[in-house]
Amino acid sequence: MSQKKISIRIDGALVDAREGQTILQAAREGGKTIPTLCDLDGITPVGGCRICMVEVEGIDRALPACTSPVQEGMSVKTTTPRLTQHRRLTVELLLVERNHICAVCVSNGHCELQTMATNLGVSTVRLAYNFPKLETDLSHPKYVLDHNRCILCTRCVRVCAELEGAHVWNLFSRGINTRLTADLNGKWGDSKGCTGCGKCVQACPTGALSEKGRAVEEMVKQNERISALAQRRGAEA
Amino acid sequence: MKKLKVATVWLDGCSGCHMSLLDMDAAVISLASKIELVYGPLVDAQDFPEGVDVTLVEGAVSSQDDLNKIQKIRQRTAILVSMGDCAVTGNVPAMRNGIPVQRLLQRVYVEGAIEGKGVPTDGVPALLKQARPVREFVKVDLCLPGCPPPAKTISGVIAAVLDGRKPDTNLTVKFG
Amino acid sequence: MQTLEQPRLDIGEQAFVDQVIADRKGRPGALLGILEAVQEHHPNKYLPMATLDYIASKTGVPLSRVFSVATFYSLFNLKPQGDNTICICRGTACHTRGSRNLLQSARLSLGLGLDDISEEDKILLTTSDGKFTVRTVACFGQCALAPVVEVNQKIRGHVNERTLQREIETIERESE
Repeated sequence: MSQKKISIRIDGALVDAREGQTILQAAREGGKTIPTLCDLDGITPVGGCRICMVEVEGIDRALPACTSPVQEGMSVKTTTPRLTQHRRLTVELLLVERNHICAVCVSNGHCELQTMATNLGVSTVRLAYNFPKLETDLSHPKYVLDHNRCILCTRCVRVCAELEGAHVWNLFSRGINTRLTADLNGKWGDSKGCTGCGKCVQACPTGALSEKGRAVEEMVKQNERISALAQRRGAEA
Repeated sequence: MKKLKVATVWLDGCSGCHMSLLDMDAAVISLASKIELVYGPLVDAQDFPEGVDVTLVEGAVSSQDDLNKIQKIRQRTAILVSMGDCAVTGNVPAMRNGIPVQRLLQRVYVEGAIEGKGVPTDGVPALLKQARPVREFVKVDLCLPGCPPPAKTISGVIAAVLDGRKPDTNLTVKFG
Repeated sequence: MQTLEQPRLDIGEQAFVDQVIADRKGRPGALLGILEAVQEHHPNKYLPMATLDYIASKTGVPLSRVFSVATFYSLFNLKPQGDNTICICRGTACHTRGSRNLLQSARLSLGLGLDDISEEDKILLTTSDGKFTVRTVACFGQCALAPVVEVNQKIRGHVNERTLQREIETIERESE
């Protein structure tokens, strides 16, 4: 790689980075952890979930680490009281938006949202639960889509478009009414484009997409396989 | 030494949190000499007493009776603890929240019944429109999520109060 | 909701869509312009599912993306629109100046009923004779004129129930 080398500080420590990298990429290569939800190594970052927000010296507002490029001499703080407060509220907002009933979820114990709440010490929410009435799509022969558990991270949308090239998924409508949709709001099982590869299921951070027939706690996602595949494709290209 | 007055309450939940409470094994022996269990499904008291130090609440607020109870309990309790996911988030009882109450009762007690079809009205409290977490009705001092929360977490809270410590709000907690 | 089980586009409509697509070939963001032109061309000012399907197949834009764009912008309609559109602003300023009453009175006088009077952010109702559509919008940016109602693309400010009623009567008289 001929990219220009630059160095930045992350939580005080010097980290080597290359021009064009994001703060998150540089942090990971330098062995630093920044919490993320919508990010998945190997697919394009979108900066949607706002969990990876970091503070950069000289800039008042926090920046998303997954989409902000590194700059020479940058000093990044990944954990401050303000950021922790912010991340907690973000998780609380995700928890109240839909019906996350961890106790009866296929992904209980393997869910990134649940783990994020635990790591941030979220023991309750400060807002009223929304309790929306949402559907479950059981039309696909192998997989299930449960809107109750979806956090709209769009990992499935991106993995389907970028790695499988099928473009089955997208979000439709807007605001609180935003939903994941297959094709023209059809049933997943009716989708002409879906190859049934299951990449979206493995990429999904919660129990929103799961394999059929899994009972509570049985759905363990293998999103590292998505990242490995993306890496192989990158090497081939 | 004056014993710590502890009460437990069972609202709309499966009693699993009470099971977890009993699951503290030998720890119950050392606790028993220091606390007095003044109300709850584990004791006989009919009326919620005054001046309770700690009340552990299991279950979501789901009926008019739950609501009356929890308001009275809040007035008579120093430290109110939401014990378990139902009390903290609504959890499984809240899965009915998208269905109108009349529709729900009709489905369960009429369409779903094999014999004795009919919605019960005598001696059962009216359901609220939705089952919602305790915190949305009264002030809650501490939340212990989990389905159920581990026995150690529950006994840890009682032990902290006994020691005169503030129960640690940064415990490792997990929904589900 | 909507499915694809609708008649295919007729030949004339297909030719129009093909032309619209050809005119915009290679332009970035062409999809928005295509959707707008095709909707404007439809006698009921909307985008039927079969049309979206056809646009997707002709442009090579994935179905899910076409649907995403068509539902994101409030400009696009997925249901047939009436001959006349009454668009009532439900923004904060108009709300405080009584736009809810305007909405209700418009619904009642056009026989649209007050069912599903939920606090949904977007309401879109068409009379069964296809003459009127009543819809809401988040804000016209004309807050000084609150409450604002757009009647057939013309903005009316400081509307009250009486003047709105008069507008509806005028349209009804002219269409006879």
